[in-house]
Amino acid sequence: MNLHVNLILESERRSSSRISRTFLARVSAAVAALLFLALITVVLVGARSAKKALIFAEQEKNQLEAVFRTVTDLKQELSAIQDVTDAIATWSQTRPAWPDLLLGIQSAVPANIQLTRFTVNENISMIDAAPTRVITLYFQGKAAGDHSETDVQELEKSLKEEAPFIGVIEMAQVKQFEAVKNVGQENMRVFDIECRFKTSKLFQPVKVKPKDAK
Amino acid sequence: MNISDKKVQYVIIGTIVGCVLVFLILQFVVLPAIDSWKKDSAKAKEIRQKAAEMRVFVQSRPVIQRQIDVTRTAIKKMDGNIPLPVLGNYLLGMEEYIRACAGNLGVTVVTIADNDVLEISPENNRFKIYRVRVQAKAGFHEYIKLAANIQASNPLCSISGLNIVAREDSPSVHEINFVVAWLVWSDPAKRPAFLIEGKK
Repeated sequence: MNLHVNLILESERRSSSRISRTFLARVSAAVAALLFLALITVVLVGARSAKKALIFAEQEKNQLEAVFRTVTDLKQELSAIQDVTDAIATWSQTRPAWPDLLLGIQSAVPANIQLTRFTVNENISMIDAAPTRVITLYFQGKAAGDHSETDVQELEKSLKEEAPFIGVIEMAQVKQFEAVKNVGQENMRVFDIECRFKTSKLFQPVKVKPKDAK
Repeated sequence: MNISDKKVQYVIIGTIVGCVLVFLILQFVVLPAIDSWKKDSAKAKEIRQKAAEMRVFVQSRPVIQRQIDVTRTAIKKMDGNIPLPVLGNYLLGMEEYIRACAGNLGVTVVTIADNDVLEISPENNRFKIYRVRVQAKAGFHEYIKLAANIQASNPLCSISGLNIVAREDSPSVHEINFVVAWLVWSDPAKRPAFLIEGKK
């Protein structure tokens, strides 16, 4: 029996493919290097254009800043002078219409009631952190006749519920009602009525925090 | 593959050097560039947004200027009703005003004297309230007419206290004490400049 052995050296081997492995490896290495270079280029160009865009935006903002400051100053001036008009307007709007109120009191007082004292006090107090007009009205009088109690109650009711007091007077209350002790005036009653006006707030500027003022 | 082959050794060394180079480029060139790209883009976006807001605000300038003009005109108009001190005090002007309002109403003005000066609030410190006390003798109707004159002649003048006591001897004439309040500048020299310029 003949044994036939074909010996082939390593260098003599041939691939069935037409493209050699070495060539493939070189092409792959070149493509990888190109891709890597492209990546670096894209990143560097992108970073550079972002930097340029930032510089441009900063320049634009710096150019606007001067005009912005001028307009901010104008805005602050407007706010300051609006505070002045508001302070003046609220002072004017919150004053009671005394002529109307006095006429109203005169018509509300029944014929058998004579007022002997009429006192109004106005103060400016801080209420809810705002300066407020606080007005109290106090009057004393005499009422004659059998219906004196009813008449005084009517007067109290008018002060609470009728024009021109409605919306102006918050509270009206008879504080005292009693008979006159003098001889000969047994049919006469004296009374006190106290009224409190609805409070009206005067202008209070808004405190600007330093952060908001910028 | 024979590892002792020189060509193979070069390939291995080349691959290692290449990897190290790639790593170094990534670490010291690409990643910092990406980081700066991101940061710059974000900052530019933020600045552009702020600039856009500033532009909108700047565009409101004519409106603000118009509002300032309107408000100044209104203040100039109201300023005529805010008394200024005469010879260092307000009383002379107030007395003249009240007597003019009393006119021929049948009200006897007995005395007019300083009452007090009120501060409105520490924040609202541009103005204060100057008050005078008036002592008069009048009928109720006449007094109502006087109060109407006082409040109508100056919208910033207000009756801020009143005390009417009936007189037994003359029921138609009462003792009337009342307080009249004016809104005045806290410091007339520091009122808005455009008011002072207007008076020069």
